Formats: sequence, structure tokens, C-alpha cells
Amino acid sequence: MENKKEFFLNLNDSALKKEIAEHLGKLSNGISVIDHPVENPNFIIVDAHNIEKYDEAFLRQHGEKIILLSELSDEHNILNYIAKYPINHLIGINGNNVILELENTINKILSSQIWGLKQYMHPMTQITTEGISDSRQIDGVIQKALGKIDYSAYFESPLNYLQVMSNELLTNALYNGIAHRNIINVKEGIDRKKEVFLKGSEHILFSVAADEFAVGISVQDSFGKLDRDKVVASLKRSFIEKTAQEKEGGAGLGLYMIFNHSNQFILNTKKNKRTEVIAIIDSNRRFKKYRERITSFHYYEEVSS
Amino acid sequence: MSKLTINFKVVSNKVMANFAGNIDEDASFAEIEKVQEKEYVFDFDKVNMINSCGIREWIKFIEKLPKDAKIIYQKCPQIIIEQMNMVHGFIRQGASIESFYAPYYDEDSDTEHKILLKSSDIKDGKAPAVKSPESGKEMEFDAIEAQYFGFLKK
Repeated sequence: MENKKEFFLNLNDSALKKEIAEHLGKLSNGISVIDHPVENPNFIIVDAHNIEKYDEAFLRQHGEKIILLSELSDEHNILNYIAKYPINHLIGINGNNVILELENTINKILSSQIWGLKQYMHPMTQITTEGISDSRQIDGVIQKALGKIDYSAYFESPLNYLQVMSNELLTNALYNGIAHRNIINVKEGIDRKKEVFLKGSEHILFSVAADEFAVGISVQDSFGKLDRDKVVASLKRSFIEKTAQEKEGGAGLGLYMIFNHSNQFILNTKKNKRTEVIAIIDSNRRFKKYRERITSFHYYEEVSS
Repeated sequence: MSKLTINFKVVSNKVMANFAGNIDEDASFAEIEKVQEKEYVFDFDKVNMINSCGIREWIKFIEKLPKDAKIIYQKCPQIIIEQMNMVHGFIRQGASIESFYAPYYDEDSDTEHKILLKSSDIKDGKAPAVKSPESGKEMEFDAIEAQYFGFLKK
């Protein structure tokens, strides 16, 4: 008999609950949707009101099962949920297409196919990928790849935000990856003014794609050193202190800036092998809507077999 | 993306500087640092991007200016305003924003316009009314006022 995954929908909004139940039912035969508390569901889709009813011990123990649909601020979400509990999936409730985002999340969890931008784009979407092997290439590669996107469905300045995020992601991947390889204290890091080079089988890939719903960038490295703990610690520090760090390497603000400028922030990891950060911006013509969008956070880990 | 270029002149104890390009880890403000004056006017109109290392370089730079100097920021693009609101230290004590760009939306033409505002135009945290250059109709301020004008309280 098929072992179905149980999804408990703990949501106050009955219309949303119904819509999610319908979509999950169609998503896979391996999903069982439950609208009442059961002893040990595989996943709990919960809103920001109902998550407060769980006690701390439960959230610490079962946080990995939770997909939180939040209407609260980014700062609140990071400090009170992501940094406190092992919650790996938080979806901003005011996204352009919450159902699609939820489907993508569940597909990735169930299939374990976590890598790449293709999961977030229409199947026919062309994805541009460029390799980076040294720091001198960063600006040129960003210009070339982002220059291929049609921004007519967006507010006036998405390119500015995509450029900043791409720059932060690529410099972090390159300099922190090389610092790890050279066994330099990554917290101190390598001076970002220095030219650095990858060697051997090391690689960093920069991908860009856009469809009718979103534009996304992805930076993948072959180091696999960035993990959930490091990302969350950096976001937590930045949200609390809101200051640049005075040290040899980066300013400690890059991930914070990427999180703030993206609508979906996605971290994929395979420990010591591979890391990917994806930043998505919803398609929309209004800057205000972009700014109001509660940023989603997703973390996926491929476990070595 | 272009590297930062700085053009400046000193006129009666006032440093007038124009920045163009990207403020990043390679940004060097050494030439302005050497000129210790009473007043600095920084024009950001042609700045395209500022990254996290650029923010740090900027903060280090303005901390080196005379403590009692008057510092005025002019024509700050949206991307600079966003960073000011996100990170402490970008605006030092004694510094003020004279003018900045803000997004307005023209519903008729479905177009966003970047409008140069003066800080003095912002009353009680509210964006001033601005008319569309095309239709003459009033446009809608296209950001969250409490968030976008946050830098005025720093």
C-alpha cells in the first residue's frame, strides 16, 4: 500500500485552505490533505496566527515539518521563526502566486530535486548560465546575463536590485569559497579588493531566467560551505544590528541585502559539495507592491547517500 | 557596471563632489579625505549601485571627515535611499539629505516616474502630490511612506 505524506492544513482563512487542499490533492497521489489535528503529520501548513498556538518545545522538535504562511514583517519572520526554530519554509502570504510557490516547495521536498532555477520557471523558459573563474569577470558576467532579460513587466528598477544581489552572491561565493579552500578564517575573509581565481574543478555558475510570473537569479558553487546556520546567523545579526562589519573580507551585509531585495530567498545545499542561492522577484509593475511583498525563505538540503 | 569616479572642487570652504558609477569595495575617497573643510556637498545623481562593501567604505570615509563638518547629500537615487534605510551609519551626525529620487506611478500610462524631491517637501511623513508629466493628472506615490522616508528620522 502506498505510503502517503500527510499535510495538515492549520489555516484560519477557509477560502485559502480550500484552495490549497484542492491544489495539493491534484499535485500528487502521494499526498493526503488533512484539515484536523492528527498525531504526527508529515507536514504542517500553518498561518502566523495558528503557529502561536504551538509551544516552543513542539516548534523546536517539529519545526522541519512546518511550512509557515506569514503576513508578518521580514524582520519578525527571521528573528521570531527562522532564527529560533528549524523552520525551513516560510512563504510571504502576499506573493503574486502563493499556491504556485507552495506547489514548488512541496514538489522540491517530495522529489528531492532541489537544484536550479528551472523549478521556478515555466518549462519553456530559457535559462542563461555563465561560469565564473575569477573576480575580474564578475561585473561583465552580470551585465551580460541580466542584459538578456525583458523587464517590461516590472517596475522601473528591478535591474538595480538584481545587479546588487548578483554582485553580493557572486563575490560571496568566490571569496568565501577560496577562503575555505585556503583554510583562511572565513569570518575574517579575503580582502575583496584582491583579485582571486578558482582552480582545478572548482566552479561558480551564475544563472538568470524570467517568465510571466517572476525573474530569478541563481549562484551555485562547488564548495558547499554556506549552510542554513551561517545564512540565518548573518540575517539575524544584520536585522538586529543593521551595521557593516569592519573586517578583512565582506561587510557582513550581503545576505541581508539579498534577502531584503528578493521576494523569495532560496538556499540549496549539499554539505561540502555544492551550494546554491536563488533570489526571485515577482513580476509586477508597481514598486510599492515589490516592497510590500513579505520575503519568503526556503532551505533545502541534499543529503549525501 | 562602471567603477566609481569622483569629480570635486573646493569653493569657499565647501567641497562640492559628484559621484558616478558604482560604490563598491574598490571605491576610493582618499582624495576628498585629504581636503578637510567645513562643508561637504555630495551629489549622488549618477551613482548606479552600492553594494555591502561599498556601504562599509562610505561609512569609513564619512567618519574621517571633520567631526563638526556640515555634510549635505543631494539627488540620492532610489537604490541609495534603500540602503540608507536598511543600514545604520550611512548618514553621519551632522549630515542631512537635501534631495532624493522617489518613485511615482502614473496609472493612465502604467508608467513609473522617478521624481526628485526635497526633504523639506515631506510633511508628517507623507509624500507630496506630484502630477504626471504626460497627462497632468496626480500620480500615486509608489513606495511605503513610513519605510521610504525612514532616513529622514536618522
